[in-house]
Amino acid sequence: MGFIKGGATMCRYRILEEPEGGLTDNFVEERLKKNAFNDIEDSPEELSVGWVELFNHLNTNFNQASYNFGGFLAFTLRQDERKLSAKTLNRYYAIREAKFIAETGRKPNTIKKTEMKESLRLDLLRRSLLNTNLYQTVWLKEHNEVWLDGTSEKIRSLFEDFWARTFGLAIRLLVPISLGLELLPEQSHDALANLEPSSIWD
Amino acid sequence: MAKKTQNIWDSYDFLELWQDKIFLGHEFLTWLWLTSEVDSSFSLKNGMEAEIFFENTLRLESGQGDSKHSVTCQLSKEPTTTEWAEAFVSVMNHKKVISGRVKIKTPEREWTLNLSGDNLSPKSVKITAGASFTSDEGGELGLVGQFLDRVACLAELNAVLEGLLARFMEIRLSKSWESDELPRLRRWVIKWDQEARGQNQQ
Repeated sequence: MGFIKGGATMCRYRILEEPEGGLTDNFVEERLKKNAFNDIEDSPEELSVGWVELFNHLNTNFNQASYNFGGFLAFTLRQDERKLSAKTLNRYYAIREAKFIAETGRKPNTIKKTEMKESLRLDLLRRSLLNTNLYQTVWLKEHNEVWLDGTSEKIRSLFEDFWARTFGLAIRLLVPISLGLELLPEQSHDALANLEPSSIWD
Repeated sequence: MAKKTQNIWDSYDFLELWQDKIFLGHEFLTWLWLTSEVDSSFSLKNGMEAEIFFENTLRLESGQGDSKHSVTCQLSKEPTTTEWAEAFVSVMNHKKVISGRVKIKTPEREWTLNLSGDNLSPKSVKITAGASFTSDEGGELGLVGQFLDRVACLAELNAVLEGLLARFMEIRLSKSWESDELPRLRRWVIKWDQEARGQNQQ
């Protein structure tokens, strides 16, 4: 829960474009609602990704007060995932196949096998617990900057894809070289881009 | 901000340039650690004053790929010269600091955080002084207040990190890096190494 409480971890992005009609509440609200999280609790779906409100991860109404905090906007990327291992599926399938043989006196043919396996997979997925991940996002309007509560490549990739899909605005990760290019005057940019490592010790 | 660095990005792919200049963050952390051991106070270009203390853990590395060699120094909260001995020897063996736990103090605030030279993304940030709001001060409203306060604290931390990086980049790109800065850092490492050896012998 990095930005609200506990130890905060973040990676920073520079937003490189502005929305065509400017950054309005209408723009933000419409995009968030269009890409809101869909609950898959009662379905066998394996993955759902979408935005939820910062302070209520069950809510996707996105009233202005839920995401607009004056100088910045904040919301959470929620990812629900359920996994079924091949080992578990095969173990349960063996039980179901034995039952089929006991009832019919014959082994299922290939078509029946595929049908039984798919039906079992959906049954098991529906019964398996969801794993929920929440990644808080803060959009600092004045600085064209966005913070993500997470730094791993997997989380960044999920966020970058979903950000592009939602807002369609190009972003660039702020790391030493990109920050350096922002902090130094333009006449130093080529020198920085061509810099070679230097050993502290000869 | 984004426009300022647009030209250079026309000629370089972000990921390639990041990987090519990954040493920048390692050199920055090495410089920051050694410089803070001489004098923990830094006056930054953006007008901020900060004190830097490396504590608990310091990871140093040399080489790339299969020839990569790293050392992790576990330290007490206020490490002595003797405790840094392994780190000094590592620097003399061409290793650079790739990550560490850092305490940053400004007149108003104090943070401890993990910093990795690869991306300079603050991780496990604890705001140890200067946060004025706690969620105990009134239910959900308290939580919102705490969130706003923490975002302000984290923005200030980023400003300090940028100030430090800007100072390093200026020195790193100047002629004085080779002529003054590196000899100065080497002199200190030799002095501390001798001190540490002397203390170990006693």
